[in-house]
Amino acid sequence: MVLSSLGIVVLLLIILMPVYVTFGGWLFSEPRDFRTAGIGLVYMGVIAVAMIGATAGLGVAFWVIANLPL
Amino acid sequence: MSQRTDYSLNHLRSVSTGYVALLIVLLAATLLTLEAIIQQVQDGLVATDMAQQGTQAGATWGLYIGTFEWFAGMAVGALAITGYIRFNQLEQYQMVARLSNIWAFICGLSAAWLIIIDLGTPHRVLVILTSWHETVLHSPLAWDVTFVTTLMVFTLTMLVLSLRLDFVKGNPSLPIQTRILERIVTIGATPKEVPKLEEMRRWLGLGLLVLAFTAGMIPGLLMGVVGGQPGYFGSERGIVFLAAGLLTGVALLNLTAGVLRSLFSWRDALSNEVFRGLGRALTLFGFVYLIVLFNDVLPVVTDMAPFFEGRIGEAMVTGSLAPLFWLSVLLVAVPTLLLAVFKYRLGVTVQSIYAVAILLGVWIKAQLTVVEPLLFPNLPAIEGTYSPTVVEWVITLGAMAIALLLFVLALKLIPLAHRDTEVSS
Amino acid sequence: MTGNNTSGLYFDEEWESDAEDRLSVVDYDTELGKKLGRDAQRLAAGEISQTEFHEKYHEDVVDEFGVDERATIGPTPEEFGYDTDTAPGGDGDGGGGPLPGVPDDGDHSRRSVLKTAGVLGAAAVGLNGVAGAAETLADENEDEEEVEDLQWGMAINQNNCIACLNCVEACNEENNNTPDALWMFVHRYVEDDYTEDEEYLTRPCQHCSDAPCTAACPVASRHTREEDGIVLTDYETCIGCRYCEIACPYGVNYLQWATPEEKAEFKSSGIPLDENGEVDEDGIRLDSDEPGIELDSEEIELDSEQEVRFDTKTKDGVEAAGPPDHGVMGKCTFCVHRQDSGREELVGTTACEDVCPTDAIHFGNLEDPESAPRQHLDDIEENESTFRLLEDHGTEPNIIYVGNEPSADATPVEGPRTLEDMNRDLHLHRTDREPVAYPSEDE
Ligand code: SF4
Ligand code: SF4
Repeated sequence: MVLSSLGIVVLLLIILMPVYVTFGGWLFSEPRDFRTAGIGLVYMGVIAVAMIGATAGLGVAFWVIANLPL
Repeated sequence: MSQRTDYSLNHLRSVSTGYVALLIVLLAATLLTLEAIIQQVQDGLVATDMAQQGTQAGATWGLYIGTFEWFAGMAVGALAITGYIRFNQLEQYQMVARLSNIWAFICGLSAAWLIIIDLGTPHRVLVILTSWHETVLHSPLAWDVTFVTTLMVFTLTMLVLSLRLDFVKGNPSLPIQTRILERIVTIGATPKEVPKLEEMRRWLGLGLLVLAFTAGMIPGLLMGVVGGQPGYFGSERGIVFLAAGLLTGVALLNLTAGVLRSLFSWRDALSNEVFRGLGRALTLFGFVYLIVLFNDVLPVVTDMAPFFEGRIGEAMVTGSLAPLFWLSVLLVAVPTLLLAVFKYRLGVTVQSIYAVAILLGVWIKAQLTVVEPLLFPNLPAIEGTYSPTVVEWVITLGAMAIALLLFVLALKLIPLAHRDTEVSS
Repeated sequence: MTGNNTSGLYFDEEWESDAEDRLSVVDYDTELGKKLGRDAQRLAAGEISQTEFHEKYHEDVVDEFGVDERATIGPTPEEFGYDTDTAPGGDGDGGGGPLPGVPDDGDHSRRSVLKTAGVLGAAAVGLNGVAGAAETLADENEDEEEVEDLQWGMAINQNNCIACLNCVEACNEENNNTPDALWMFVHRYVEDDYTEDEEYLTRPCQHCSDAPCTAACPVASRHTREEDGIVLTDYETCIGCRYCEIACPYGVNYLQWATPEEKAEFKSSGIPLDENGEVDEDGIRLDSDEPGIELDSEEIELDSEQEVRFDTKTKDGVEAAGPPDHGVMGKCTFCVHRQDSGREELVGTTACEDVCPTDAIHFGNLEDPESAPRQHLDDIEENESTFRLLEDHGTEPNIIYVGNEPSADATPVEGPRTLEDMNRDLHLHRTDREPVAYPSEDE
């Protein structure tokens, strides 16, 4: 209970802080240009998905290695 | 001395025999590492010397986690440097920003795969992600995974964004592989974007700085919150990690910039001024690190630490681990003092040698930090031993070789600075 | 400080006279007993912290009984960098604390402190009366929430232990563990260099109510069962990161470093799991769709009453009983296969308890005053002290020891079972691993 609320604080306040700063800055800084900011967000999203996908791929790779008949 | 040479993208094209030789050596090392990985994954962690702490008299975590901390620290350091330069728009340091950006990503990647190779069932790594929503609420290790992932996403985004800006500003006659990269990062780009992109790069720089300092606390929490082991006492773990990270980050940059400058004579993009700055940072963070370390050890010397901590501290300062501990201190302290006394008068080469010493010193201490507390169980059981196996050494050193290989390859792909015009050919 | 019936506590007149009645029949200080009982409730309600509670009574208890073994000696939580205010039993409104709680167990945690106060308070003071009083009140408190409360735990009497290691062997046999995985272990040690007296500490997993291993696990594989407080590892999701082992201060976790040469079969010389068709001829429970370890059915004679396979799945279908798989973490499960077997002869027993020749181990429901551990704690001599292991770590262990807690600088000594024995399986795979030695005599 207490630790889980600590976890939420850590997650929301600490770990995600750079995300807030960056996204806030991108969207609201002058010159306003939502197109460019949007493209930036898309890039970031694609990279994030790629990272997570790569982790999954790594898991599969390890599974294959573990089961190789060597 | 020789005439000033401007940065000219020549690193993208030139392929010297030295480069090929290095590439071959690194590729061989990578293959060897792969061999070791396959062996470990097939046999299990029994291929390592890690064992249960207590009745098996071993250390539960070893080289992999220590080296993970080292890489993660370096990533944070490099990240902070990139962020600082980008946020303050120090154009003079733009090459350093790019170099540290590349390193931050590579170090994050190395940290990530080392943690996976440390798992008993690495093929289940996906479970971390599928149960993340639940465990992130209480597991510091889940925070750690979040941190490393965020780090990689942010550094890669910074790389893409800053390259996009450079490319939009115009970069004539790129080699084919860099052209492809340009295609990828400039989708939908127009010259009108430049002011906005500069602003976005600045904000992302701030984001990186914040990430370096907030996420830098995570390993502290990792060890501290779950305080089962004496010596993982939490409060200062985060600071120790951050101090070590900033120091190694700067040292890595010093080394890389030094080597590149002597290879390509970039006395413009990597001017004396830049090295003075890097030297200053190295001295400063060297002292910060030493002070933090001193405070870490102080309670032991003054006999104020609780019993378990005291026992570990004693082993470190005067006991069985003392040679390694003092070696690690000397490797950092001597270069730092020499730098403080002679400043950069000793030249870029000497500064690079310092950097190597510091990197090694912090690496040794990172191992001690992880292993040391595990050798001393709380209950009356045997003091543990840990001497890593060949597999562990190969994978650990291999991780470094692979990181270097990635960097060397990146040198042929990524322009290190922006140039408006080509000098000559 | 009179605190009449604040926050649902019961120190009204009725309580007062009841306690007085009970306490008057024993020789010890009635006032102290009453105060202890009252503050134990406060502690449970989180009005005062455990440290405060201990500090407040340390002197009195020493005066009255000559010794205070309630594990407050040694480094305080603060010295470990913990914030005792938020530690379990503290006011709990801040974050932090050493290991502030398994997720979503605010209620559970509070109740387990009540148990601590009830059982331990009584045992430490040696007054059955206070225990009775506290327990009655605790029961009254809980009646509204839940009628049948179950918390498996043990009372282990170190004074009885002769370090015969029967429990260690029985555990490994029951769970078919490799010899290096010592889910149950007996530490042998001497307290100082001047005595030759060996002391023993029997050490299973403490099945902590506030288990740091559970909080640390990044995949929620290590978990605490709500209904009976057993701490288990889900063998199917554990990634083998060993963070639980790092987080546990007791050193009870054992990773399956390698696949043992002969795959461990999970069977036991107990009574067949179920006679009325719930088990197929391989001894695999039919309601689990995935049989655990495949066994050659010809090797098992089920009609003879000795050889039986237990299910590796718990009754919730979690793969968590018996030996862990390759690369996966294991530890004492409180013989969860017995608790889940649905058989009266097996529920409430463990292999180690069964074989102990000196009756040092008592397993049962700590919530039930009639249970073996509670009875044993009631029966011990008044001057015998009790403790929970490394209590200042805030883990709220569910093993209550009778005897003296080993001090921090106790020296381990060699026993009939050598380290080589213990490590033999490990050494099978790691021939170049240095043999471990006990601290030498002349050091
Ligand atoms: S003794 Fe260790 S493994 Fe067992 S529940 Fe407590 S913390 Fe977890
Ligand atoms: S070893 Fe397994 S049970 Fe322990 S923390 Fe890691 S995933 Fe959880």
